[in-house]
Amino acid sequence: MYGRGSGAEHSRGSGAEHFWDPRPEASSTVSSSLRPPSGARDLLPREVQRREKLEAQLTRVFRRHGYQRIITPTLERLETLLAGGSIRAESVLQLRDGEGTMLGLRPEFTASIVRAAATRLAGGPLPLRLYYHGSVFRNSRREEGSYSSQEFFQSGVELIGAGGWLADAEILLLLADCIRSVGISSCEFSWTLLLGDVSLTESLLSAVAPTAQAAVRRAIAQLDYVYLESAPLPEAARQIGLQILGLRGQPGSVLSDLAQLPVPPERLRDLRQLCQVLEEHGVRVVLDLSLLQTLAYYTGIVFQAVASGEIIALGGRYDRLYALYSPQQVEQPGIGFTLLPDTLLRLLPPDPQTEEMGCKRLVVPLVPAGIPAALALAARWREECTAPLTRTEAVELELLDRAPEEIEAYARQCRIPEIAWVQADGSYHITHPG
Amino acid sequence: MLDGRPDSPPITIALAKGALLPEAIQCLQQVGIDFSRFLDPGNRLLRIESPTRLNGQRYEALLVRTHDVPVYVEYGQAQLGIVGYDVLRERYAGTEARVAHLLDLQFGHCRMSVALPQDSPYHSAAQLPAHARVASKFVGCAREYFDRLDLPVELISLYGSVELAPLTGMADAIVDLVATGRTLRENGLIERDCLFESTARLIAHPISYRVNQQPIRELITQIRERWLGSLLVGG
Repeated sequence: MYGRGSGAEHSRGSGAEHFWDPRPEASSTVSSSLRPPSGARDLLPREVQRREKLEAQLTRVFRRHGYQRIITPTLERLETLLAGGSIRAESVLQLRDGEGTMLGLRPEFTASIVRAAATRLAGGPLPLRLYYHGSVFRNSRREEGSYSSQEFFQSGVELIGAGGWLADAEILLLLADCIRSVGISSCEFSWTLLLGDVSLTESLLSAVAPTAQAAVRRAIAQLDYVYLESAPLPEAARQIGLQILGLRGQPGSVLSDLAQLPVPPERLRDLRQLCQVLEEHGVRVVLDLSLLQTLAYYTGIVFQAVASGEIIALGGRYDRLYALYSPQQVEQPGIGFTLLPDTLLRLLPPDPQTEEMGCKRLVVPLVPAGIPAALALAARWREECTAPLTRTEAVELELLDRAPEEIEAYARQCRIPEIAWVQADGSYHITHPG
Repeated sequence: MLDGRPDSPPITIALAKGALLPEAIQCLQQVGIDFSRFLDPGNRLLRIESPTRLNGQRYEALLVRTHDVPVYVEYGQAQLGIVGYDVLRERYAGTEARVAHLLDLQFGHCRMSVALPQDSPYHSAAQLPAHARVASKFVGCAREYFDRLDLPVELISLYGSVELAPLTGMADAIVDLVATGRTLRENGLIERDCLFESTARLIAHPISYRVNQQPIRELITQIRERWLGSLLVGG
């Protein structure tokens, strides 16, 4: 519209020839080698918009409950990430720094946050209420035996320095609040809280011969009834394994069954109170003593929030983790959960507001002399946008030398409802591309 | 919630095409769930609902390729599946199983074995030289087995007629499913080592089972009484 050079020849500044090869055959090689590695991905604007909205909703809930954001390094010392052997080294993407120290990309947040709490935040007021959003990285074994790295997004909380059933209740009610706030409850499917207790399960397993314990524990975690029924196990071990697999269902009936078994009565009392509070707050609970999370640092309740057959959040109590990172080996109880935004976004219906990609207005200087007026108009309109910033309140400036019909085609394609055509004297008229 | 009410959604069972299908259908018929339409030569449907119910609970079935049964169950598109243990061992070789193993249905008996040519100088898998070539459709199971033996071998993945590999000199041994051993003998092979025995298994999507176990438990009770019970009496 207002005639100027494309500027492409200047776009890379001096020294561009060192990393830019204009030959077509080179560019095709470059493009294939610049794909993200397997398991990683680019998030395009529309996906980012949905994710940001979800994070904002969760952040509001976290803050309402008194939680503050913490950001820990993506890269940590490997020994920090392994959490005293609770996390398998082969699941961590590893690298070595210049001094030969083994580092890793975090496979989960809890270890890093507890490390920060036990060192940088030690001696401060308790309990600590912390929340996070970010990426985690895993080395996953594929079916054919090779490993592939994967990047996941996670949002979650850690409550450090508070033990007991009331702290458990705070975390689970916060989780319920999060799930309600993002709209899972209002979808055509509801959600269920699967709730286990590692300490109760382990107290039942303690009667199993030590040689059979690992096999029985694995069979319980994987719901492998066939193994427990047919493997050459001591009969007592088989019966205890099958008994634990049977301790699943409505909290009332499972708690009644547990009352007949050799388990610590105070744990049972706490669990009963917790289930009662959850029921009063409308949370559908399946009490499941076979729920053994894969992370070995859990010591108390463990849980999964599930909807439409998928895990949308998981967590548990870890009362022995803090001491691993505390210089004085001080013990502090801890509990937390992780929400899985990738799964939540897959289950939630697309939000028409978020899906609306268009901006409100496109400002077009009709002649070079109209550029200052166009800039001023765009600035004024942007200031007038008092609503929370979303793409729909945006004001764009036309930057390319395009004919009016091309500009209108662009506006239609980007769903921009208004175009302001600005004259040299600052006057403008608005059109609405069909 | 799958609580057996007439208006609750059906429980979906993934069934494997092929050798296990007739007995899988027979097993379910014994407990009052009818997918016999899949055996009709003119049938083209891959998804059908049983005209009969078990305790008021509706059931539907998906007819899929054998190796796809655990996939449909793992991803929750089917809450249950009936599939050979060999398929499960292959899919989850070296990893944690992502389906629940609920019941051994005691049909489809076979075993995963190492077979060598009759004129081979080696009489067991452990005697094979390092980097021997082993052909199989079940490379996951084979890898797991040879790793346990601490024997490095070159695994050749084939999709059919594995017995040909030693005949043509492409492989020194094979790992394959054996029922009677007749095919092996006809091709000059001899079964030397058994990796594991295989039968048909009832598997479940773990989360669906944890959340809605009641109707599935009822189904298992019926299968134990009417199917496994009849096998014991008959056997």
